[in-house]
Amino acid sequence: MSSSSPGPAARAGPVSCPGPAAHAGVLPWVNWLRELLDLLGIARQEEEPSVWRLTLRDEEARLFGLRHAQTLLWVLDPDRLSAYPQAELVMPGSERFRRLLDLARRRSRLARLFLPPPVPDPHVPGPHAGGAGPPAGGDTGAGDLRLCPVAVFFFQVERTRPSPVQSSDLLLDVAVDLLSGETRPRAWSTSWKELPWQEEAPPWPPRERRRLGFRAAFQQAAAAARDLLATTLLRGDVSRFEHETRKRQAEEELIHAYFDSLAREERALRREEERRHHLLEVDRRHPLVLDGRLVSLLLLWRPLIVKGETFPPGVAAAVRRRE
Amino acid sequence: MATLPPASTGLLTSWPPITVPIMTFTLPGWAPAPSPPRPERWTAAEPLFPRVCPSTPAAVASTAPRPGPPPGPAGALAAWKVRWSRTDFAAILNQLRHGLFDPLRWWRLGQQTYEDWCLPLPGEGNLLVTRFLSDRFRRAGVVLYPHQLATVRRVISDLGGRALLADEVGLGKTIEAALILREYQLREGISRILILVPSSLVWQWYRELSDKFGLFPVLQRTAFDWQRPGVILASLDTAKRAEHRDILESLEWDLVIVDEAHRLKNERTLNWQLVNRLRKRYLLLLTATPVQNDLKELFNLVRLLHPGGWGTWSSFRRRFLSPDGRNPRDEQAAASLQRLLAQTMIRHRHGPETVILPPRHVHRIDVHLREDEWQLYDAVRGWVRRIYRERGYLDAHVFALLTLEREICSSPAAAALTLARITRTDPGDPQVFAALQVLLQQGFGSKLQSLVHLIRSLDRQLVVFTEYVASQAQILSILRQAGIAAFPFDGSMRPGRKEWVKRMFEQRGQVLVSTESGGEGINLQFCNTLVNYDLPWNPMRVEQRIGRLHRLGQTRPVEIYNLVTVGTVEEHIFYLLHEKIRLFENVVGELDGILGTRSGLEQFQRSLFTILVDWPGARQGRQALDVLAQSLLAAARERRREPGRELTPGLLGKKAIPP
Repeated sequence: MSSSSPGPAARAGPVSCPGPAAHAGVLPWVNWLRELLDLLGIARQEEEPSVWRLTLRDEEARLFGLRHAQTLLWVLDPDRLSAYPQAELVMPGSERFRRLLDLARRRSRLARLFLPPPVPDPHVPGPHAGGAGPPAGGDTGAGDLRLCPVAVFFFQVERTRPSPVQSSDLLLDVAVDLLSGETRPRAWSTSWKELPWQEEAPPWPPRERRRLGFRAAFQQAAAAARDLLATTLLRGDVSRFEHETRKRQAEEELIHAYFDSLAREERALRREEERRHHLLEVDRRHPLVLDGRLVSLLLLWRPLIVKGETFPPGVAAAVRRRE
Repeated sequence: MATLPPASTGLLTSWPPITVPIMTFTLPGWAPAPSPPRPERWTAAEPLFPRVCPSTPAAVASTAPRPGPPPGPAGALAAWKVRWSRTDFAAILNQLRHGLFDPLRWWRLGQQTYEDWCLPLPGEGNLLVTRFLSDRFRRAGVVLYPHQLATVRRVISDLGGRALLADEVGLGKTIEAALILREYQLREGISRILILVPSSLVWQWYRELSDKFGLFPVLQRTAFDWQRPGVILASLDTAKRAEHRDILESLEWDLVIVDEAHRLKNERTLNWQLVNRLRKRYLLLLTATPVQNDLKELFNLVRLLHPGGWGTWSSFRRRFLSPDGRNPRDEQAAASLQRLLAQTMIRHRHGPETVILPPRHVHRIDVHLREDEWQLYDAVRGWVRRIYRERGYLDAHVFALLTLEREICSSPAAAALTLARITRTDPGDPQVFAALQVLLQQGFGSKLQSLVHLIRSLDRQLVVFTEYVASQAQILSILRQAGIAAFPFDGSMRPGRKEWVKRMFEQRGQVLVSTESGGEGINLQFCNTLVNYDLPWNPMRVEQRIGRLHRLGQTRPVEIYNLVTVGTVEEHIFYLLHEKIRLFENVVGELDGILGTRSGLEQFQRSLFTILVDWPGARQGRQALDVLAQSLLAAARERRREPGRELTPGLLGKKAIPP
């Protein structure tokens, strides 16, 4: 098993990242930018709070589409641009920022997390509780504690556009148990993300093998996401959708009425092709379509008692407490 | 495999009993190169609410009126569909197969990118383009006017990206269209943009887009260029040719911009049919004269934007127009029509609410010919009249001789070239040859000396316009001898060279010496002084010269110096243009409609030449010029009263639309 992202981030391997609160009073995206540059290992000098000088080495320069090492001057506030006419404006909406978002998204599509069992490894003899030495293979008799896989699919749903520059109309998460196949929409966002997940695999207990393939899990998740989407939209403000629907409908009716009238007035002319052409234009202008795309997948390993409940006293009690 | 008892208990929640293989999750230990990005693959779009709306036929496939959605929130969403991309899943699966897990810190960073803060969400009235291009505008010296920003807001938020931009000349329609283009690029990332312009304006558009907006459009040269991504800039005449038309109609366009859109006023033309058949999402039509003759022209333009928006022509005519079909039927119909028009067209007029250009100050600099120059001028004038008397009418030869007469007022060198051409068919007048020979040996004429004196006294950056290339060469020569930094600008230059000269003049030069054809389309607002070294007798050409400097972006009064050779044909032309037509002070309005046409211009020239050749004496000549000017102005007033023209102030609004 390997964690594969190259670069300084992989070498550093920290588990937690500082949130926006780390720099109180600063806009969240500025903190995000700092974190990104730290992960990329790019040295920066903050000449002013909103003026950064970046020193890129050869390999880092390539990330920015440059051939050789060089220095970049970024201004994060458009009002400061006049003082630094040679600088580049970087802020949400700018081309550079969009590329950085893309970079971050490309490097964060797949992660794996483990939830350690609430008790220490019973196989390892020692003074700690539960280290009584159960039978080999992690079998605790009638009960068996295992790590079981759950895939959490994150879907982004947005309005169809020629090429979405920036949008996150909705981010939906659907967990699919790869053993049972059960789906749980919103499980991650509502509760699981608060649990003490860790990146390193615990030495104990052993892992179960998944029973459900990822393709099947994805299909299940997409179906669940569609239902979740419908529910979510219905609970929210649908006036935007209503407005768009009616606008499109009005335009279509206008075109139908127009070509029907033309057909009556100019009997000799066949204008069906033109009618279709203009309806297609309306369809392109007001597409009543939502695009869903999988943006990332989180593979979770959670402890689960897979056989009975006969555990060493310490283990069973701790499992129930956590539950 | 091990079967679990029903009483299994999960740690997170209770999960149903399952059978699991007791094996660890193994991953291969090698890391292949990441696969290249694949094109997007989508599943078929499915109804969002299959039970509510079991089958929603594609709108494009159906020609029957669609049933309205059922009431309530679910009804609003019933027509919506959702489709899923398979591409991203395939990429993630590939990554998973190779065990390429991203570190948690990266993953969290990526999750944050879906937060709201990463969106540059513009408010209802906010524009991204002013936020992100402010620095570029500052560097390029672009000043955005409130009416331009209002146009962009309105097109984006109210008109759905389809509009007729009909601002009066000089109010910056090009800037407005480019702002809308950039705004859509920033908001929606539109990538297929087609700009169709008259061929004479292709380079002007290129310069505007590249200098001011950082857009470097693809100049269409081959059929392959249509398919290139980004902004394609092409001439409308090229686009409508059969070999290009088919390609254009097969492509999808996010935005189509058509400049000088009055060329689309007739539905039977190839121009109109091409734009109608383009598969476009947004459409901007730019013209200062949406109505030239009758309302059908406007109807046809609106039909391109919103087919059926005004019904069919016959129903529109019945509802709004008088029996002759040219004017609104009554005031009520005019008001209704104006309301309809406001849903499609944006028109701003010159005035306090838009732009008031700085004033023009006109100066006359008298030039007195020397004795030897007079000898040549008199010899040529005698020759012209003799030929005219012999023939009894104006023909090409008399025209050429009149040109020669004017050229002598400009420079002997210019006259020498024309004289050489004339003598191919006419043995010529020996007096003329002798006088010219003397003059050419004298060196620079008195007008050139006056010019140098004027430039030295003004001591500022200025543009000198002349009609003749030979005069241009002499001007440059004498200015360089006088140590004045001067640059030539003429129609023979390639666009790149022109651009370079313009920049050199702006940064280092004092004088730009331009011919008529060289000055077309060039914007020189950074300079506010113009010298008419000689005067064309077409008033529109004078206006075009002034328009290079006196346009949007000019912040200082424009000083116009006219070098007038006293007692020659030039003085009469100046009298007509300045004192009678008041051309220099007033922006040409209705004269454009008269002298802008070939027949109108020919008629004007013929009348003027007849007066000049017949010139019986100072007093009678002036009277004849007065009559000509009065008839020209009367024609302009009459034109303003024509039914089609009346629509402009009446229907299109005395104020901007919307007010």
